[in-house]
Amino acid sequence: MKRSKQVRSSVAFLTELGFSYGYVTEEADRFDELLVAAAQEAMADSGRARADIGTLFLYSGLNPHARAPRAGGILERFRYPVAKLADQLELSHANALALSQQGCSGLLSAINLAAHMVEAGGSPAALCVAGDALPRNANREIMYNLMSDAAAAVVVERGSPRNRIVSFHQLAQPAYWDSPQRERELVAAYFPMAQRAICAAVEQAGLRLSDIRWIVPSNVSLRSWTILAELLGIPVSRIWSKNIARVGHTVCCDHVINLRDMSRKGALTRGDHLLLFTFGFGASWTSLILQH
Amino acid sequence: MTRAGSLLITGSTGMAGREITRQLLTRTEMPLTLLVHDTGKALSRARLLRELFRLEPSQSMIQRIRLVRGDLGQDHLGLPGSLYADLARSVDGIIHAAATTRFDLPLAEARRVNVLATEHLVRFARGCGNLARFGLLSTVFVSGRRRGRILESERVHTAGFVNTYEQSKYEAEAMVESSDLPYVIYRLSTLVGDSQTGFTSRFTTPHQALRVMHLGLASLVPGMPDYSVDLIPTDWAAATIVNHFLDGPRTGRVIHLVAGATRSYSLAHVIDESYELLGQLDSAWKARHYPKPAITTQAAFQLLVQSAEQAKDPLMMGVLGMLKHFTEQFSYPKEFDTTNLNGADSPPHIREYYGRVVAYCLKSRWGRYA
Repeated sequence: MKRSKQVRSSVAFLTELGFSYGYVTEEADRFDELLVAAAQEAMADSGRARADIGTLFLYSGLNPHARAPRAGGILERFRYPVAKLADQLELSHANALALSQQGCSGLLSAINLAAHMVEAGGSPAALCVAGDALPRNANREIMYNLMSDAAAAVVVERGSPRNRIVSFHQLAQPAYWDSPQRERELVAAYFPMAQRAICAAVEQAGLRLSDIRWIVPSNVSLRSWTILAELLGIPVSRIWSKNIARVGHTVCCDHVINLRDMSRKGALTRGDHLLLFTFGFGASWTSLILQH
Repeated sequence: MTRAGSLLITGSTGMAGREITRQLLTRTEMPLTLLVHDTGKALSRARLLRELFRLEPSQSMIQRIRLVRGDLGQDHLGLPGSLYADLARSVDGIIHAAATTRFDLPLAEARRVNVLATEHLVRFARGCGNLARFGLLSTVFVSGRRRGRILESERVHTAGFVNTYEQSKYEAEAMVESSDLPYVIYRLSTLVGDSQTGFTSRFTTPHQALRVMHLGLASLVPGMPDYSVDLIPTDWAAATIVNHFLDGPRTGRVIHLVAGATRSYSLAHVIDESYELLGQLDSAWKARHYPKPAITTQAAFQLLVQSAEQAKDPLMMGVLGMLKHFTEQFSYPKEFDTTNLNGADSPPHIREYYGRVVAYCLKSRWGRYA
């Protein structure tokens, strides 16, 4: 990445921040295949039949599918990726909706929406798929973080035997909508808002921070998590940070990738309270508390 | 002390020295010799009175001022020998207010301004045949990283210092104490502005911290939430120094000029109050919904500073660099002894005038439209 000028900082600095690797989709026009693969794995893992999935959410914040309309080709604007994904997944009966513009908070918000829908009745499950690939040769450093391309998916079920949603809390600051203009202010606001969002979510859940077994992070720099741990007064060891170096930070797939890897590595015990936290441009600071 | 001779003031263009000089001009008939650096060189005495001391110049007032261009960093104060000797004959009191109050200077530079200059002035004072009093303006933070009760009667410690300003003033005090001069050391806490108007002639650290909040760049503040942030009004500090200098009974002592915990906000409270006042006074700012900075540990703050430095982010380096040189003090709570103030009026509680200071900062855009 350094050689191809996709990162500006020195390798030493990025390493010190906790990053070792980033993932770059070599064939951006085949990114659909990653979305399909992630969705198929999630559906298989849930054991749900396709017929159970009444809603398909696709979160894509950067919308790599958007193309400039050809001359006279306004129909280009109506080539909907979520419909294509539903077609590829053979979910023709599902209500397919695309979400965007919540940055890294996007997938957690989609999960929250899906949970409300399945709780409200109708179909017993919803599929949330997320994925983003940065434009080719784009700068992959955003606010001290190394960005990776990724896709992830999760099935939200009514009465799920694992990862029950305990609380969802989002602090929105739409006054920060102009991210390029307000980058420095966002950097400054990040920690105090993160502290507030996490504490509010824990309180809303009727828990204390000491009840949280793991903080499942977005894979932003390990240094920023160390600072946040100090602010929260929790040991940094309670943040499952193993994927920061290995995966890097994706727009909004980090939590699902981390949860899968935590499960595979045996880090999760039934009944554990897990706090998923992220910041999303827009701006929002989002916490989701699950009970495994 | 006698009021017949001339009183030499250094640093009369600085934040404290300016207000001290102003009060001496308005409250006494004393002739004043102002040893000025380049700042005052281009100004006539009338303009000096108007622009620097905010006074309408009368003929008698103009005649009481003697402007002397010198350089405290040089031998003989950078003065010709005859002038030096003439001053030594006529001066019967010295208030040494000149200093650098920057916290981020290399130690050698801070020493050059704060220690070497004091050494030169002490040497001059020794040659003043009629010297009745030598006043040195210093800081209560010569106590550095000490915690707990700080007596006026003690200076020496090994706790270390938060910044080079503290250390250089500590060393300047030591030099004055070891001289045989009739000295008084005035240790001030943090000057924040005029209690009636909010005016400040210098936008120092507390003002810059407020500016950082106004810019929405305040992220983390290291320290203890209940740390007592001791701020004092410039007019009160100047009046107390002038009163004591002219009428104080004894020399060879140190006087703490502080607000004390009962007239101060805690760190958490001063942040709350700053946001409240900025919101009241600037509706556009309020609409930006900047969060208050989180109070955290030194370790967490240093990690943020390190990130900004390594990322070579000039704005954040500037902001955090400014904060890092003084916020460390917020981890060393202190209570200052004020025995030697000896019944002087107490300063007002910060809540009585902080709003005026914030309003002045906003109105002047931190000095841009002063």
